[in-house]
Amino acid sequence: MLLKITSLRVYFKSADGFVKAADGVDLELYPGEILGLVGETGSGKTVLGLAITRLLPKTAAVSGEVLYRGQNLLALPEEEMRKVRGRQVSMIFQNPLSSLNPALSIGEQIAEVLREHQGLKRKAAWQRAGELLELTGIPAKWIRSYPHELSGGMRQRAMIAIGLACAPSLLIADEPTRGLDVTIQVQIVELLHAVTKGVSPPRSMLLITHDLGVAAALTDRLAVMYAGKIVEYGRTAEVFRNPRHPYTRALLDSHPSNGLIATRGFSPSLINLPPGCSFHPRCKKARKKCAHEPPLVQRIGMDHGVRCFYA
Amino acid sequence: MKLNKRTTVDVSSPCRAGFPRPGGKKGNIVMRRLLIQRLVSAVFVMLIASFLSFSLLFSAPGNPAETILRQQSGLDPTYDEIELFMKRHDLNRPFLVQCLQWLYLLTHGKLGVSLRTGEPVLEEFTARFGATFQLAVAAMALSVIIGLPIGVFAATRPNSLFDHIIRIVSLAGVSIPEFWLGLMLMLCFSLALGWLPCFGHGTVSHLVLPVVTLAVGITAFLVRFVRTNMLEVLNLDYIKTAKAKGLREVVIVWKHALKNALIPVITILGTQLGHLLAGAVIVETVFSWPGIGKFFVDSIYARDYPVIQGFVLIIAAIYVLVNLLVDILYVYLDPRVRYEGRS
Repeated sequence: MLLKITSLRVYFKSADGFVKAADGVDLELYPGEILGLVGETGSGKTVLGLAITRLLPKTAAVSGEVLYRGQNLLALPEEEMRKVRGRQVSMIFQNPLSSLNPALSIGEQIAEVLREHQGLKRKAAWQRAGELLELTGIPAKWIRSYPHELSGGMRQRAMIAIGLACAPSLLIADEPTRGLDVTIQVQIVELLHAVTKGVSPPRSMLLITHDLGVAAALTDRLAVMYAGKIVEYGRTAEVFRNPRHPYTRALLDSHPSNGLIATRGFSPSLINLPPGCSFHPRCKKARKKCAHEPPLVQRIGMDHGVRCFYA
Repeated sequence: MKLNKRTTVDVSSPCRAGFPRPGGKKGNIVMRRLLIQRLVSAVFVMLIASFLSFSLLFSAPGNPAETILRQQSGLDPTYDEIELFMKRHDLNRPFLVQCLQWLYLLTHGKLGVSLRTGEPVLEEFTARFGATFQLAVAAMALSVIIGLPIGVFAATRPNSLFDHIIRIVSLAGVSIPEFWLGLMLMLCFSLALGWLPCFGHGTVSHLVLPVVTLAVGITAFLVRFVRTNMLEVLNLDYIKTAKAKGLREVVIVWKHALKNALIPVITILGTQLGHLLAGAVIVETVFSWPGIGKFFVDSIYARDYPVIQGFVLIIAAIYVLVNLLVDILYVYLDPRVRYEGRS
């Protein structure tokens, strides 16, 4: 197993109480696998990604375990953690315009990772940066261009090139297709597929997205997040064919291809979560029990689990 | 600087009309356009500034003949004396005629003669500007060398003990009036300790007290400004990216953050330098520093029109020059500026 997350909790202190962005998350990621983490905005997906690489602000209280190759990243000294970032676990952020440094050329932003982690000299690092750009579909002669000179799709390609620089075994991609034209989205999805499944041995990726289409196209397994908890997980095809949690069903129904059926209500405030099952106020199937007893994950098949009493 | 390197990469890329950068072809065009724009605007800025200062003084009460004659003889001048003086210096001509006369002289490269000293204005300026320049550059350099690292350092440890101390000290620094600080330093280091001369000009030891007096305020201001800007930049997305890349904190702070935070800082420093080069009147007076500031103020009191107009003209030119330097630095610091003026 490449990554094993056990009862991960991320709380932020706020004036009104604790914001429970992740509330006991368990996740497993196998080598060469793409795991999709889906859920609506504010369900804690991004926080989970940042918690793995320990990039959350110091105000976040993180507990639990993040085992990467058997090593608990949360217990690692900062200097050791820094050497994991970018070299073994890379992140690809959404909105590459603000995530790339406007004052540095994209070549420099790739080359500096290589200099830092692989000890390459200036020239060798630039040479390799050019190759990485070509690999992600940017002509190497654009190496001296700056982020503002590139189109949105090109910027995301550059972002991916940075992530790939040191050939990490795990990529964490946070909404890599957000804000891009649909045709460009397809290209980015294809590129992400090529740099994970298309290399040998295949590379693992945690794909954080709210776009079910992207998740269906790329992922092997899916974890559905709602209000800081994983409410359903399983093989992607299985979850799409046979969604068991009412929230997963609602999420699938809300997709345009399924008739754009909106779920009633709003996602709850992460400070005052409803008692019992967090989803029960919006759930069509909710009964009395749901309102005061929090459901545990039930295994309902080979590698398919659901956090619901009546699944 | 790596940006200076000429690019050997083919700039005729397919979808964009090449990437302008300082060393490259496009960069040169941007730079040339910038220079031409600045030169044209400089002429107008200088002329308007001297015209305005002249018309303000002309309409203000007070008469140069009276003031200067009283200064020279120590007695109240008679009506005839004043009339003679006015006639000799063409001061009784109409406003616009005087303006045009001055412009005519200017086109022949002359700034006229001081009514007070009888010396050419340009000579009065050049004789004093060296001292002012020395003071300004030294104070600026000292402020940047001390203020910049402290500001950056404080921003990387917000709300630490160091940060709190720096904030209090810098607040004191920006609040202390220059004349008081100058006198206190003089009291301390020249009268009590006898380490440094308290006035005069010539050696490095003469430079210390006035430079420190000027630098305290600028340094304190710089620390606060750099700190604020760095704090802002350190919260941006690309800093998170830099962290996710596993870069060292030194690299993140001094390369990724500072390069972006410096952009507004450079603007402020340019304005400050312009101010200093226009003469630090208070410090020059306190330390009897032979710069342009004190002479300029004395000329204003005496209504020494040619000096005032000439000095304003030259100081305006210096401002334009400093701003041009800032703009050139901008082009190197912020690649986005290189697009300015392109269709």
